[in-house]
Amino acid sequence: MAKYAVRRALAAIPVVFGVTLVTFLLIHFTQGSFVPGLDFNPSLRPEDVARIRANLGLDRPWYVQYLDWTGIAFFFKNAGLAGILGGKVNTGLLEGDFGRSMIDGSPVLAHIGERLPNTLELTITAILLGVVISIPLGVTGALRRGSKLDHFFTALSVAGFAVPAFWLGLVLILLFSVSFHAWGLPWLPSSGVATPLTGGDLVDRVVHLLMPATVLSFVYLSIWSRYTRSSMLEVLSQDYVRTARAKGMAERRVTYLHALRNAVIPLATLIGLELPGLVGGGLVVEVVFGWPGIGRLAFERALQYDVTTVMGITTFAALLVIAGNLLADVLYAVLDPRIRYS
Amino acid sequence: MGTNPDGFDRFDDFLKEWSRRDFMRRMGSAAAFTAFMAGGMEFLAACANAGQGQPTAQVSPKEGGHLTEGNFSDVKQLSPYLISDTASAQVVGLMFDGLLGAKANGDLIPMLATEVPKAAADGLTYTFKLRKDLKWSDGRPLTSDDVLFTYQLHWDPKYKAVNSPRRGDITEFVDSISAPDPQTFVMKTKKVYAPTLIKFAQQAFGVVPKHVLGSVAPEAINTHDFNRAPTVSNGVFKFVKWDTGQQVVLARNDNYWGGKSHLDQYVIKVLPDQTTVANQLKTGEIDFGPIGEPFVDDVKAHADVVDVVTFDVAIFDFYAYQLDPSKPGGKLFADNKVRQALFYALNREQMVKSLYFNLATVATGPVPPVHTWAYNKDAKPKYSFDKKKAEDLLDAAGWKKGASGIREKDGVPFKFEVITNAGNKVREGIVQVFQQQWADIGVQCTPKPIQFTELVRQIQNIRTFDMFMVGFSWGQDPDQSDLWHSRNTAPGGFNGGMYKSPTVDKILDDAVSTLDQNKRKQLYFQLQDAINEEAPAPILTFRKGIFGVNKRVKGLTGGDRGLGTYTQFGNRPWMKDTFVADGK
Repeated sequence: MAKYAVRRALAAIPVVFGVTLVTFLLIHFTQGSFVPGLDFNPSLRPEDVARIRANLGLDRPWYVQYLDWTGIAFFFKNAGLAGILGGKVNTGLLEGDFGRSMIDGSPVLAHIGERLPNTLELTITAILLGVVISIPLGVTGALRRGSKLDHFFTALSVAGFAVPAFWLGLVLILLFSVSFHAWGLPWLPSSGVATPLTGGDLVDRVVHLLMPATVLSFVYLSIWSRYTRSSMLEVLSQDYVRTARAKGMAERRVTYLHALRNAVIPLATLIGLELPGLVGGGLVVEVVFGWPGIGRLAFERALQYDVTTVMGITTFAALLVIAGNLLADVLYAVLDPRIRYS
Repeated sequence: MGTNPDGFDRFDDFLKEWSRRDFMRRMGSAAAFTAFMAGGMEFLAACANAGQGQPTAQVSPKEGGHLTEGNFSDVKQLSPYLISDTASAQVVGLMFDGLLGAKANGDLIPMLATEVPKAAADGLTYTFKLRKDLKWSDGRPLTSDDVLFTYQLHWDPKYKAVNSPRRGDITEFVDSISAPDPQTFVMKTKKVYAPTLIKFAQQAFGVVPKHVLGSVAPEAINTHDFNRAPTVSNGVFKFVKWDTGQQVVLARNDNYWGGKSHLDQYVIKVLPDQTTVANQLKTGEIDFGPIGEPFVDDVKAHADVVDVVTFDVAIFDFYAYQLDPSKPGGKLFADNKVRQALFYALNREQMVKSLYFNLATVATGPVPPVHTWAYNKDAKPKYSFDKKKAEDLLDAAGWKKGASGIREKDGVPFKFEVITNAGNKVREGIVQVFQQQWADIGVQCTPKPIQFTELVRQIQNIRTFDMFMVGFSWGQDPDQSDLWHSRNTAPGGFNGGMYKSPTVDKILDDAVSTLDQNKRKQLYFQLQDAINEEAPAPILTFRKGIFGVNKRVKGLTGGDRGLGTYTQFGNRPWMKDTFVADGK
């Protein structure tokens, strides 16, 4: 197993470089003369743009910028080969340096560190809510297939699929914030993680978390409950379930001990794949609810061509996808003894 | 683009409504729909409470509490020498004063200086006397050394490594800067230049502490902590903390030259979009914030919580013809009659009603009415909607209707594309009106919304468009060289339509090289007639600024130092007198 994990980790290196290269090229070739953090205006002269681009190192050929960012250029420099690339060379990814934002000059890792806890607060709550609700929902649906309850759950998950998160979010805001406020009822804050200045205690944070977490979990819930249901149905028709029943085992034991454990294996993959979603999956919800998370940071910085910040977050997300996949495979083996890696 | 009150020049909606928000706006439209459904009763309430932000009656100010401002543009950085966007300027303006500031109508007022200086007899030298006993928020004295250092960051060649976006501009006009004694700062221009004080002495050049940054190497200033946490300042508030994507918290600066603020704290909350700003105004989560046109009626329905304040701003929406004869579009629009004809064919009253919700006025020419002394409401021609005149002009220009209903000349059909930024609902609406109303006179115009950055590149550099449609925002000075002067047809300039007129160039140059306002006025009247007559880029509408202000906030609206045309962004002399009625 350990060998397998190491092999997978090694295989991930080219993937990370591939992802970063593609991201870099996408940003680079759509950027044009746009300078991160700089708004276009008439008093901004072409010579200002040229000067600031040069200060930021954006005037170098794209491969030099990329090699500099990755830290390969720094190796060159140490090997006395800096002359090949020319210009300023900094430490890069390989030296563990994610670079500095091109907009405010602060370290990208500091940005990630600042936003990550907010995103994790939102997504982990949503995923937990999703798991806790979707599994019983799926199991009930499978056990009472064709019943009114099953149809209701089906309709609910179709709705969860079909209703865009931003729309649901806006409707909730309209109802629980604006209308409740107008009606003189207790109302929920429409945006942010905490009340500025006066808030920030646990109750305040939970109150702020309620709507965004509900909206985000709604998406997970509708997908996962369907998976649990169909996978449960399949497992319930297996021979060993009939055997268990034939042995006179209690139905509850059959369902939850024998069937469910096998039924949740595909769900483990899904949840594992949701790991990078821990970081970026809540983007739309983060935007609608003004949640200062990492998805919103990436989105905003991408539109401002803050190359280093976007590259940093992308790399971070790529590492999480790889880790998530690996974790899902390991979980597989834990959940299903038939699966062995060598 | 344009020059905002403090000289923070900006391409109007490039900032206010560019692509990020455009994406949000599409989401916002869903909210507008649901808000409409929920609004049956609220509409009646709105009719009953049609009053708008009345000037505050004289009441004795309440001390304490905080004010929360909401904005849908994120703050980028907090150092006066690096910023170029309005969201950052708003926060920076509360912490850093320049030598001068402005009243709501744009008149200059002294801030760190004791008075607004007059140019010396040579017309070039401006001597600023600093107020006595100026102090930084940390108690250290603020002297002309700090002022000199601030201007060096922008002007002195040894600070070229600092990413100041104002270096090119100030080095073009300013010849020397000096501080002969601790209370005096002298700026000398290279030639007589009327907008000198407006452009180079206001908050765009907010004074920064030399005792913090003076010893920092130029290239290290771009990444200095001061850019995110400016711990020493001279304005009405000082920095407390910045939670990115959430809020910036400021506290009262007890060392402020103008006296202590009534407010203990000031919070600038970063919100995702216009919808949220409107919603939080309604719930009172924010006290103060800008309102997008589509949300105005909705916010007015909550008149028990929030007042809606509107005022004219120096922003217009316009479209520009391609006039470069080497481009296909340039051939279509070379004839003045054609340019006029298309403008006559547009029903702008209707646009104002249906696209701007009546929160704009039909433009009379290139100078907006807020440039009071330079504005000529009778600039000619007037271009009232006149379809017949449009058709006659096109006939006279030799564009005859062909069998397909599209006009032709020498076998060339009258077809072209108009570009604008995708997702901006007002602009997308306007170019659709172009398409319909020009089709009525046999001209085929195809709207082509493109990405914001691509649009900028088209206007400033590539310039292969037939026509573009955007907004432009101006500063306090009526100089419009940015848009009309032939030197700004150079790559990177904003005269993207390549309009070149020796007459207009001369008017513009003469108007900035005299300090005599009467002479300037006559020249700008000439400019308005010339631009109207030649119609290189017809001005469609003059825009309005719209803000929501919570009922509990006092001392913010009304009076020439209140919230208005030139005091809505970074320059906010009213902040000192603002208080919250409940003291919370």
